[in-house]
Amino acid sequence: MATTPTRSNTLTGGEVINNALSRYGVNTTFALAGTAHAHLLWAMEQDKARHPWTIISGRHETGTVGAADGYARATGKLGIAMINAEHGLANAMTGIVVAQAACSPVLVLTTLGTPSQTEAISERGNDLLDMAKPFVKWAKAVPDASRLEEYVHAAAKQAMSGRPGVAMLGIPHGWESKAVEMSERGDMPLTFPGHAGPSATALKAAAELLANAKRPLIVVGAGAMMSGASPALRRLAETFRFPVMANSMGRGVVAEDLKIGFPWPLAQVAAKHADVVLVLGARLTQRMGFGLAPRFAANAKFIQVDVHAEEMNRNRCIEVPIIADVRLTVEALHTELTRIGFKNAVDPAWINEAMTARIARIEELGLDEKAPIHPYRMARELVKQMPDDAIYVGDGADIQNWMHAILRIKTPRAFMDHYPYGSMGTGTPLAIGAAAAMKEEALKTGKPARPTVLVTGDGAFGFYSSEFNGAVMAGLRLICLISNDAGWGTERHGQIKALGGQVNCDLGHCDYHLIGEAYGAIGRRVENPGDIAPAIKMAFAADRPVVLNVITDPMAGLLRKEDPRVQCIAFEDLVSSQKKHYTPEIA
Amino acid sequence: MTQPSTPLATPKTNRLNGGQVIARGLARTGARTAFCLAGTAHTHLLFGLQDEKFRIVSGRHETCTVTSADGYARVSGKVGVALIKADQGLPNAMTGIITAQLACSPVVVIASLTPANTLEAEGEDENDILDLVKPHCKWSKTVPNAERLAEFVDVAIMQATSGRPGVAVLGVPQHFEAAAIDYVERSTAITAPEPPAPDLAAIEKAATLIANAKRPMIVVGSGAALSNAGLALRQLARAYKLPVLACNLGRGLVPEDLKLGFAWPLAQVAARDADVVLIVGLRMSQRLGYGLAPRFDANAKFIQIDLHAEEIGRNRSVDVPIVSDAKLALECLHAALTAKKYAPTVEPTWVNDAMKIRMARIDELGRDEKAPIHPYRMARELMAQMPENAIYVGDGADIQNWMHAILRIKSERAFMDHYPLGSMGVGTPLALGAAAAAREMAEETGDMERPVVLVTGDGSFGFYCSELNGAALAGLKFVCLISNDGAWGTEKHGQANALGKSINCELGQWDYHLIAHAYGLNGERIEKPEEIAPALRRAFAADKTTVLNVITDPAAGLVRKQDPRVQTVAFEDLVSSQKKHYTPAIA
Repeated sequence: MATTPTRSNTLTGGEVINNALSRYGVNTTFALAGTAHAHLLWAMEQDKARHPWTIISGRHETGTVGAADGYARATGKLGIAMINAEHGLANAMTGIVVAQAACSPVLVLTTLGTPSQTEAISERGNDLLDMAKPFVKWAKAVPDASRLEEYVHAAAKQAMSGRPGVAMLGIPHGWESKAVEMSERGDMPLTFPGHAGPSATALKAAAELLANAKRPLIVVGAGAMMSGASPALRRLAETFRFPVMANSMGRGVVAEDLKIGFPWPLAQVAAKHADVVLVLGARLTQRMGFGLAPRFAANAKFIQVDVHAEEMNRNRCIEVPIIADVRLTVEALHTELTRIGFKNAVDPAWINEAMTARIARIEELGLDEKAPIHPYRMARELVKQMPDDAIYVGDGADIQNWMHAILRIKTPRAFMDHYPYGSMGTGTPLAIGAAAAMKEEALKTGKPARPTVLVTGDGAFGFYSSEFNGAVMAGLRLICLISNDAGWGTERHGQIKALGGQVNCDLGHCDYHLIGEAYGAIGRRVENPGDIAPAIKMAFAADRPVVLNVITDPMAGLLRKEDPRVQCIAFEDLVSSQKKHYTPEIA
Repeated sequence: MTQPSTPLATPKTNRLNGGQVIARGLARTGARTAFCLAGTAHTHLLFGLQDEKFRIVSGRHETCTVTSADGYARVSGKVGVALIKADQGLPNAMTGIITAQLACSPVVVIASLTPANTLEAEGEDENDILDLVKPHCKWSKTVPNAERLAEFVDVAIMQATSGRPGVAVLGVPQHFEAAAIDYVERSTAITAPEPPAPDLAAIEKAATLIANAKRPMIVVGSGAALSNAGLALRQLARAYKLPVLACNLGRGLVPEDLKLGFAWPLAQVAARDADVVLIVGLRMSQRLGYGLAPRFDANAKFIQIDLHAEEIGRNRSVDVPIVSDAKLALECLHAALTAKKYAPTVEPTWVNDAMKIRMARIDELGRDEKAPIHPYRMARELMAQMPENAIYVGDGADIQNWMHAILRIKSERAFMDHYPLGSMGVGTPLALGAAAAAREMAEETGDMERPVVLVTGDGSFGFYCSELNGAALAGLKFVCLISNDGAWGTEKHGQANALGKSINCELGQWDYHLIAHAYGLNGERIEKPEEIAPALRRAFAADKTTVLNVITDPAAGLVRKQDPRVQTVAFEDLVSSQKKHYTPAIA
């Protein structure tokens, strides 16, 4: 009989935390500076023969938390960030809300103030975690140093189970160096709860709807990816010819070949023709037209699969709601559809038909060989050279709208963006976390690291550009393309369209590539269409991060405000959608 | 037909849009600069502000938008105006809001809210995103309907500027700014109340204490500057040979000539020799050793003047509390001492005596002519060229500690730093706001524009370096010196001191000056001591912002952890101070 290994009786708090964290199969953590978590970092360093850690250095706490988020999205594992609450939590808020909104399993280890320096008449609250509490899944301070191990595991479980999210663990100052008496036992046993499967009744009803549909459609979000449903969903889609439209982190769960797999931003114009819609792990929120008319047919039937019961009937009544894990449900659906003898659906060419006008329009644009560069040209050159297994990180506003028309994601967990919270600039830390994950993977497989490609705008790039410091120091494979239209493009064109003029939206065609160079990355300014391809080639071959400052046409974005054929991101109004949905004759 | 008789006061009505209404309200404060990130959220307000002859200064991160407004307020004494978008911008803004609130800066943040028509009942976003900020600012409300915009703007301004100033956050639903409003101009301006005067009995007690003191000392903070007490303070100090040790915005009210005027960070070693201490407009918090032993004598008598009753006796009981505006109280105190015919003859050289050892030690260091540059050398070169009316902005940790030994502030409203929150990096936007204020004031008075100098560290510079873009776009100038020791210096040396090595504190001595180039500004890398002076000359003479990336000795900071003679920023422990104060025999 194997005996659980006993341990030395007294460890430091840092050693206890390190032991606990090392049980999650994670070898990368993200930290800003060193003092707050000195003893934990020290313990990690001392233990590196048994469990090596790469520590990625951040320059702003949203950069640190955002990178842990990006790592989690790329791997499906726990993202671990280390910050200090007193001066760092306010800085971290944006990274925290972005991760929480994206259901990313992130653990934020947060050192708290020193009780013996806390004044009775203090402007700050006694509990520094209060600021974050309403915005995260779980936030607690460890009540006693002897319970550090227990609380680390509780926090990790909260972050990773059910619908994942952000768990903040407050660690009182000094406890990482404190001596903790460990009882004579092995490590605490851990529970990984797993997920529920579909109810048999609901499953039958769903299969029946799909089997009898004229034009069935599957809409997929991050939940499907996080469930690991990709292989099962590909099989389902291919076997039964169900078209799949995917948004945000759901993209790539089925390869976007425009036969069976489609990007939601591009193909959403077809959604209103579907008579049965199967929603897998996606929120029916604004980006989905709330699931209502005019985006979807008012009399379509909906099936929705989600682990979170409260997500059903969010904005639209769901005929067959299924509270379950997406993968388990997809597998069960496959079995049931086979059992009832369903062969396959109608050719999903109806989707391509609905897209004809916009695809034709898109193909007309950006073909000029002269400067200024059209964003579509940059997009096409990138897509030509970007390997299928690269990780794409989308940031910015205008540029994402352009990219969605051209980008095709072929691999699972190969797409992420700042959706749904939408805070500009958070793509930079996401990309760094993803690149760190790729490096960790490469160290294990011995193969070269898969590249991470960040496509961003100049406005967005300015928020967290200093995070390239950590990327360079860690030797990450990260390629950044900035579509530099010299302004907050989406805002500028919105103002021009509304008022005929713009104010405070110009930024100038700044030399952002010099910021990359400042931090030891390779930087290059690209001004002519013919120079894009060689620059991208250089970037993919480089041995360090690269920043390509692509000077794009400031006026290109105006078209996008006016021509719906090139709009890939829709901002529906809920009240007007409700009117069109429920009272179409009046609306 | 007879003409209608004219009533006594005809309200003038205008049909304005909401943005114009808000602009009118802001214009009445006398401010003529507003800080804004991008444009769409506040399109009509921005156009309205331009009509009111405001300059709009562009930001790249919402904390900087707020902090620039803060810096502007600290220099000009006017209200700082910051315009942001609430839903994705408020989490970003938290650090700026808390920084300004703790520094008692009068800042109005106008946060544009998403129209209610897109709010989902089951949306993850808070119904009221302002809940995030409420516990951390002075006042926060959402305008309930467009007709009440004028009223709410006036109240926000009043809240920010009256009593102890702070941050007022006004939520404005975005569409209110476009709404048509019948604007009624007030026939009279709001009268600001007279500040409260001191209880004369308390003044009498204070005067008696001072007149009988052997070694009286005055310690002043931002409150004295906010009260415009400079003249009163100088007259009091000179007439009665009272040494003044100053912090924060209070520095420079009495020129730091080391005869009567001293910098608290440098001179605090003398505080325990004082037998009577007068605290004016300053929190007795950690930086002041809580007012307790060992920083102060346990037997000393304390007088404290503050506008905010709750502040008095914060950590130490006060013998003569005086709730009052600082200027009025100091004037009354002067009169009371005159009435007593108090006429001290001895200069307060006891302060210099207490400082002798450290002054000698400081004087020894940084005299090497060879690289690497010692931070004291950089500091001395700066002091040799920085004009007396310059505005100094201090950021970073280690470098501030060094600078305090050398810096002498000779003018009012000429010093600011990130205290008391202490979040690194906010110096950059503070400097931007200070420069905007300096320019506006020069235009109003016809005086020469005061130069602005930012001294920061490499760690802190990384947070908000993109605010250089705003400086370039607005044509604002400041001289930025980065003490680049290639690390989070304070943390590195703290770890080395405690653990024998440091982890995650190295950053690399990167080319931060290239970031200035990226934004079209001047930037130089300085590696030799003799290069500093000519570079500074160029920077002061230039017509745009210059970043001097001064490569300083990474090892210099270690001595600062070990040698108390060169420590100017003290982090006392409250509990241990309490022990030393109340039970010195045992402690």
